[in-house]
Amino acid sequence: MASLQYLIDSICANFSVKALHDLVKAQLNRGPCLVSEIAREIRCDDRTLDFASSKELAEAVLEVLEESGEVTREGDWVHRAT
Amino acid sequence: MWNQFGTNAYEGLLAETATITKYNNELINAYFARPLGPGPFPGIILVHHLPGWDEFYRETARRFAQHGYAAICPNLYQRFGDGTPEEVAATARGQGGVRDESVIGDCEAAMRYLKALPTSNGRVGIIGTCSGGRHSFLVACRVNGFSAAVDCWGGRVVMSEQELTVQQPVAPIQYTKDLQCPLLGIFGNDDTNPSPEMVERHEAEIKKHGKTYEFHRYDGAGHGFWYYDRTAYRPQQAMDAWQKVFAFFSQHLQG
Repeated sequence: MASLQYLIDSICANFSVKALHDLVKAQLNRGPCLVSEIAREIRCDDRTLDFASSKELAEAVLEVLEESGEVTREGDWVHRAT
Repeated sequence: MWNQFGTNAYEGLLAETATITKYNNELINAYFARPLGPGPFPGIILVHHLPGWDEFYRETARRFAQHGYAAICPNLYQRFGDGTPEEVAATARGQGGVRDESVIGDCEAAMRYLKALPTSNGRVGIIGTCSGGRHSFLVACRVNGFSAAVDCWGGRVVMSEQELTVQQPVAPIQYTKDLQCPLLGIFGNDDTNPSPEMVERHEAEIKKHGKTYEFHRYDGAGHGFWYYDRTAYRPQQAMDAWQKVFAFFSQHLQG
């Protein structure tokens, strides 16, 4: 959690940690998706971010959700944990 | 600061985009807001944050002008092209961001612009939030002529060797010994960049060099707690911090 918050604060992204969690979960409610799709959603919500920053945020939030057992990853594909 | 005007008193201001010449004779845009009248008025440079030269900074410039300051916010992202503030900020980020030396040059040019105004009282302060806070401190250390500086939650004032980049080759804290004006720091204790520990290290360095400063730290506030367009906004802490900023600028720019 600390590293995701640090990343959010470092790049002054317009998200809370919870908002990023909710974004990922909303995406996965529609089915498995690619990391790049999550990054694109992040960038849609904060258009001051470039793609690299969005992807960095996506990777960071997925790391947290993987550790908590809420998502699983297979390469670039992300699934809701069953 | 808030609601201190007399309801029978005249008040007017002018706010518009302007063009200033920076150190290498390039032209950059700026947003300039000033009180109407002959003055003299002190000046303030606003150093915008990572999300860009945006609406928040235009409104903040007008706020300072309403309170008696000639406020200018140079477009530090000028060289990344034109578009909406968000588009330009994304472009700037994609190209690694703005170089510290470029920001220093732009702010020095803005200071000269303000001091050259016939309405100037000769004193100029500088303030920034987020990366702008970091830059405000850096510029106040690297450029002579400022009478006050405000760093609002500037992260990466304290930087490790691994964090240094081509755009940011030296940690601003290394320049603390060269700070020539009083410094006000505004920080949220829930912020992680800068964290409370980083703020303490910053403060320790300022004390070590005997600089004039005051730091204010706010519980229940994180990064960007002034931003009323974001969920990070904390109105009570923000209003108190604004009072501190206006008192600080009044003491050092108007007194």
